[in-house]
Amino acid sequence: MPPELTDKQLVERAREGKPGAYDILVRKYQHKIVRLISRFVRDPEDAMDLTQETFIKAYRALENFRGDSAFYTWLYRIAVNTAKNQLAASNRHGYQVSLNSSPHPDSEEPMPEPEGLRDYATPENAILTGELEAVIKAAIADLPEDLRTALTLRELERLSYEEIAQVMGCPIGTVRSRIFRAREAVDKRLKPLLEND
Amino acid sequence: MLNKPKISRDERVSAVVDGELPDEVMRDTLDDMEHDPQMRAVLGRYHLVGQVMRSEVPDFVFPDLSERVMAAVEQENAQRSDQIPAAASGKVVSLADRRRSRWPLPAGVAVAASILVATFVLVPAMQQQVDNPGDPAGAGIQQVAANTPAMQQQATAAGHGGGEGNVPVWAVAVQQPEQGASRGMDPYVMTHFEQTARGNHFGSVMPGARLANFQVR
Repeated sequence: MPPELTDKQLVERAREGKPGAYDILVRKYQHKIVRLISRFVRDPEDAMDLTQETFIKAYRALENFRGDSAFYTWLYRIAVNTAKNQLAASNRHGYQVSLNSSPHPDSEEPMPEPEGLRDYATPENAILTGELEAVIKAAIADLPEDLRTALTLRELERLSYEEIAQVMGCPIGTVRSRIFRAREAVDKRLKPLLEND
Repeated sequence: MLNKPKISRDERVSAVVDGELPDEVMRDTLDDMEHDPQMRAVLGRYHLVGQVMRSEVPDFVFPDLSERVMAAVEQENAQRSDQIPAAASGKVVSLADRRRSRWPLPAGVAVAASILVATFVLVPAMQQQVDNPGDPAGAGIQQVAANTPAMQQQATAAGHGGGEGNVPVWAVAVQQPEQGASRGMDPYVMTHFEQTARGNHFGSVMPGARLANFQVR
């Protein structure tokens, strides 16, 4: 089942009043939405608050999600509107940022920096992504080659299990198992970092 | 074909992340995940690994963000469930009830007072006017109005003051009746101002105004 269909199924379940289904969607997209909103507002705390607001708005509007577009595309629009509303409010208080442009979902271009931008301290309970990257890279480097290859083909090349099986010359079940074992090994190093903070 | 028992719990979670489970197994796994916060936490971390590898995460990661969102969602659900029983019980809020709720108690009291004044002051005055058709239009009313304590007080004050300058506007209007339909309106205006002068609605149109009916014969 493709990820888009999984999302639709989760939306249906959330509509039926199963909050666990919506939690799965939140966990899946939370970091991407924070990153998107961070292009509009630079204060990490603001970005987190607006991300929270985005997911709550989306939850309230789940009935309106018709499934014509992917769930993330729909969520993306809500996030951009939420961030723009915040920018408009900031403009009234002296920020000067154009509201005419909005980044493409896959764009790496940051929004222009607002005037008077200041450096923000690390927010409470937040983890620097640099730390996560270091831990994950170290964990991947320590993986056996077959596990590392399977995980890299999946996460970076976005190949399907079937395609990875063809590339690696092994059954699909083996691919699934290798990818899982690779994630499990990385997770053992990642989990303490997320739980300690 | 994948069989659920042959795959470990976390391996199924890993396959969910990739959308690589047959429909039936996917449904069962989602069922399990909905009731198992640990499975959802594992899924979140597996997603995070891939997103960090692809540089799809912001400069900061908030580990407790999903908990905060879901706490807000639960609160939202609780509020909804509080509202649903009232609707489900068939309790219908009528338009009259809504209107009533818009009028605070003092306004309701003012309306009742207007009706009472119209009943006990204006109706006898108009009756007297009917009984004495030769009488000037305002005379009867003036007489009745003069019997009210407020009027007596004003009349006393005017007497001591020795001139028209101390007579209130509404009293002047009573003393100088006009012709036609406006003659019937004068006592109403007088009573209206008299009633509203004590409250916050001075000079404004009161809700009970349409209840008064004036017919000059």
